[in-house]
Amino acid sequence: MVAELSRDEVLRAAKADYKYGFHMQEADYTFKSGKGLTPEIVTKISQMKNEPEWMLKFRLRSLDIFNKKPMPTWGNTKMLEDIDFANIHYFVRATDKQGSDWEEVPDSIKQTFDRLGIPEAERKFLAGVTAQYESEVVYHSIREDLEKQGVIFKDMDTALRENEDIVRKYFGTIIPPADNKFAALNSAVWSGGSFVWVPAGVKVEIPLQAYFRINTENMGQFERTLIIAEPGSYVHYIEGCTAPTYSSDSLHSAVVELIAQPGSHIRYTTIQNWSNNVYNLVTKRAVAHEAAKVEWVDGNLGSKLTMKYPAIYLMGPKAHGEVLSIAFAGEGQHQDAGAKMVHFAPDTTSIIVSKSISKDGGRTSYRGLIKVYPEAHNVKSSVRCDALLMDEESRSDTYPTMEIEEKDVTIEHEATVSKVGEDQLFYLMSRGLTQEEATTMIVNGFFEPFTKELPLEYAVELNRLIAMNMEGSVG
Amino acid sequence: MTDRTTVDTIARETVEGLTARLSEPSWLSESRMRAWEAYFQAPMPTDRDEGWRGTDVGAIDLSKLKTYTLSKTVQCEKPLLPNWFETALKHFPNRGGVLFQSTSSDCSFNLNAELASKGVIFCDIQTAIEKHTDKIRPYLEAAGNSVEEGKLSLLAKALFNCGLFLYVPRGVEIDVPLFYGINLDDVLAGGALMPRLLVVAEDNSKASLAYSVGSERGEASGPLSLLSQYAEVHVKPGARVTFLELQQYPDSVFMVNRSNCLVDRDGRYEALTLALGGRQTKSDIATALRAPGASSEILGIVLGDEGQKFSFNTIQDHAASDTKSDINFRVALKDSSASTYQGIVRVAKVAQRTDAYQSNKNLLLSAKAKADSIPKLEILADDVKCAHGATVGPVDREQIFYLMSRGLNETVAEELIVLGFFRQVLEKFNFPYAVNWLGEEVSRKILGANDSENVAAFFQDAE
Amino acid sequence: MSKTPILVIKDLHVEVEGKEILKGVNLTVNAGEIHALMGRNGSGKSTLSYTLMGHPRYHVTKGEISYKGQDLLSMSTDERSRSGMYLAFQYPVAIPGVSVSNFLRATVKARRGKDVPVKEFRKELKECMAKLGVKDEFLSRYVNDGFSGGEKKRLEILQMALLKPDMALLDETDSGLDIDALRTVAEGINALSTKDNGMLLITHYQRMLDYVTPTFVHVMQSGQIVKSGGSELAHELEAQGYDWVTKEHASTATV
Repeated sequence: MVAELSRDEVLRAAKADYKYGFHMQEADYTFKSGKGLTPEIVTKISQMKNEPEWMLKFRLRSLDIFNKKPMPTWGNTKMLEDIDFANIHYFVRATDKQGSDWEEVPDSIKQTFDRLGIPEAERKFLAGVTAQYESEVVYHSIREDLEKQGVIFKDMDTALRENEDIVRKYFGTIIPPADNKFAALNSAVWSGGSFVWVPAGVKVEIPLQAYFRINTENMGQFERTLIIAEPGSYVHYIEGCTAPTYSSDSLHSAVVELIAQPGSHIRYTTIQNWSNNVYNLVTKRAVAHEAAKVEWVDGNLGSKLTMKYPAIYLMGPKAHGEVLSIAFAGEGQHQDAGAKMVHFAPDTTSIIVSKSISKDGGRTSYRGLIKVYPEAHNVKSSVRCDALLMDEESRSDTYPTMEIEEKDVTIEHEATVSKVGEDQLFYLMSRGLTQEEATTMIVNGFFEPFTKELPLEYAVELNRLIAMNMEGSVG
Repeated sequence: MTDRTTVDTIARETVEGLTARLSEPSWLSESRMRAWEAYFQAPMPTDRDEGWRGTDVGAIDLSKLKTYTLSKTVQCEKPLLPNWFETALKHFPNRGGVLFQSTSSDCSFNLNAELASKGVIFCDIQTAIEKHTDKIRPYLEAAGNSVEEGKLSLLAKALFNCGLFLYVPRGVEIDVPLFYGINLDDVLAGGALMPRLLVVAEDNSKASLAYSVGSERGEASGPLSLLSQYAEVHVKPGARVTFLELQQYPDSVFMVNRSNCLVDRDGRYEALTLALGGRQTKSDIATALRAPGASSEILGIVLGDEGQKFSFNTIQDHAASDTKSDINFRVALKDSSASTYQGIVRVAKVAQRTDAYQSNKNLLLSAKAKADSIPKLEILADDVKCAHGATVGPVDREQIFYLMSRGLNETVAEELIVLGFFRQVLEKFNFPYAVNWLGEEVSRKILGANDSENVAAFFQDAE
Repeated sequence: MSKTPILVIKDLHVEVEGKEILKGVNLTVNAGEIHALMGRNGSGKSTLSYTLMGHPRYHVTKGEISYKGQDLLSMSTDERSRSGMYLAFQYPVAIPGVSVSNFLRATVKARRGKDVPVKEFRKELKECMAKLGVKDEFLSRYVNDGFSGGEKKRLEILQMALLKPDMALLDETDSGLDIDALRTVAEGINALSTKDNGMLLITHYQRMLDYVTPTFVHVMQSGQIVKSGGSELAHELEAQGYDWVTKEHASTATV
């Protein structure tokens, strides 16, 4: 971790050259589905990908469920009503071939990555990068030592072709299409995403990373990620998203399934920074078997509306789940995020820490569930939610639910909502910081429990984004 | 005289029939009709709805409710009271007045003559409608009928058949508590009782009211009876109102409550519900702090055993700046009892410098007990101090070990800890002598009737 | 004059969460004796006190304990207390909502097997409180809730005075006390020590022993008593430190 002062310097330097809301020239699309969603389009997507018959059936069944399922009755129902499902491209293929190394990635796409101001970070890990540009993976490489370890890390389309048995065994088992309307939609039209399989006992030392981008107006992004950690293994997967601004709304609806076999450990880190017109409606769920550990580290900065509640089903004794999340909602944004911990087995433990900031009329909501089933003895769960409000236009909600059907448990929930403390501001300003700098420092400190869990380059990027978001926030 | 009828509450004619029978004025029947329209529109709760889970709400047939109209009360020096109510009153050496309503005997009330001379009104709602029309009419006419209040509470607004009117004039401070009781005896076995309570405390006045519906009889089986009540409290600028409710019913009683309290500038409202249950208790307590300086404290103690079910819902609205609220609900559950606590604190955009605290703690005393807790916050102002906390768990093993290391057996140790857990809430409540009374009721339920010595002892040093 | 053993511990092995902490402790406390048990943090001193009081987390895997001729290990925690075993906790827990006076009355009733008339109890309580310098307002507070360290320790000694134990275990009762409080507490301990009861003082430092003179001093290390002696041993330890015992024990072990 960098020292406080040098980090500030880094932030200040970074702010100067960080340009964000740019448009790329229209990429050279090789295929772009028409707008709207019909069985024909779903069939076409499946055929384009040369998928096995069972997957086509899965997609069509999912489409049927999608059409029958009502919209969620919670979250921001008003914003949800504005989604026009008929006005979305469900499949766009940006390049015909996937790049096998960085040099083969088309320049226009590289430019996009460059403009994000983050490529230095992931270039260190280029060997492990799966980058999704538009709907399909364009760049994909696995470092040799990963291959030697027997780790499978590829985009989901390739995995379906090359590792059909294992994909078929787990795909859609953690989040079935009928789970919710958007999971059904994803199941019908999914494209891209990552597939990770870690053999028993293997510890993957470098984080596996994937960047996602949306760059076409009205284009949906429906990636599908499946991670299986075999017994005793460890893997850290990182996804980070940024997107340039467009004038009309886009939809991102991913499904992420994690399976942590006994004694394994999965950490899944997300930094979500979609442009402020994207609906980000994501279903993420993990099962943790005996003595397994799953962590969702989830940062939500962008999008118009995010509805995302990473879940961990603690299925085996001594399994442990953690969700550490931050949310930042600015003008016109609603971050409706949270976590679900479902304790099925004894001696399972969970921790949820949620921190949110609302400014310029933004709204953050924490929505959470702690469920303990009978016979799940000695469960311990703690939930901590803190919210900061930056101005009187903004809003913060906390909607926690605890359903406890077992006596021998320790369940704690605590939440606070406050504004930036005047005493803190005064102290920092008496040491020469401007109000904006002082506020930013306090906000960064507020997010520190989250930031410290990130690799350095992500922490730097996140602080930079926060600094940008805080600009002009002081009246 | 008591009027007993089986009515179809879903039929409009029922309201008309009721007002005709009671020869009510047209403004009242119109007010009842408006409430009935809202009732008719509101959906019937199902056991899938939050707060109604696992209940047999469907067992109530709204088309065949046996309702009663309770007699008007008469002023008398020595009211006739059943034992359970006398026992409660014994704890209070000084009383401002007692009002008791019953289906089976003459009902009665007395009010301290000095208070009456100051213009305090304390009588049953029928009498108030006849004799104090100018005071009560504006409130009955202005009452909103929001579907949010719930179908069964709206029913009480439309078809109330008993109730209370307490009016405290400007500047009158009543330092001695008032008591209102209703006898449930004859309503058991399939009847419905629908009280409506209205309390108006004018500017800078002060009053304390204790309220309980009870019965000598303890039918656990037999047809389900419905107790549906609606209470409205107006705390005008600078006024202080303390409201205490003991909920202790036979196990065949299904109870639904809605209370709306409106607190004006610098007013203060304090309420405590001691819920010892019936078969099902569903209570919504809404408090609106409408002007700067208003404050409220809403306390709850829930002690469940056997198959009892509880559902409490606090709705705390901060609609103005510099308002303060404190909510504290403590729940202990034995056997297969279950509790759902839901609470929402809403802070409006204008409500700067709000200070709101909400706490819900649950002790599970049995492997079959079940507790849900849903404390919610919706904050639209920025300069606020809002926090909430919730816990669920068994009695702390270290506390039990400590007490056992001092020679107490495990059962006694646990009981002592539960009593202490409740006492912390009771002691926050500013109602003279109430701790003794409520402490005794709680102790009796925890310790059983046999351990009367300890029942009396535990809270003795409290005041 | 023959000695009456109160507590006899033989080859005691204790596990906590699967880990063996006590590895063969032998100790006999006779009536009229004060034993001091010293040792570094983590040597197993507190484990011994919790085990003697029957804390459910501590599992005896081997050995036996005889208390006033009875099998202590077959007794529940409250039975032990009622028969005169007393532990002054190092970190007493808070019991919110339970007043000290209610609590004390309940414990005295349990120990004596009958209710004490309120008046009589009050009188006895006031006397004990006066001796220990405990203020009246103490009684209406909740047990250990928001108490300072010194207040907690005084309440522990107050309980001891009321319960008149046959065997008292004082776990680091001196820690966190200023010198005046320490003197008061020590005086209380001296006053409560009789020819009929036994005491085990568990302590890290010898400063308590400036005020309470032990009959025997034992040094505990890695779950065993490695050295025993008279009260002079405490001073040697103070002067030379625990390393001295460690070395000596290592050399005797290899002989």
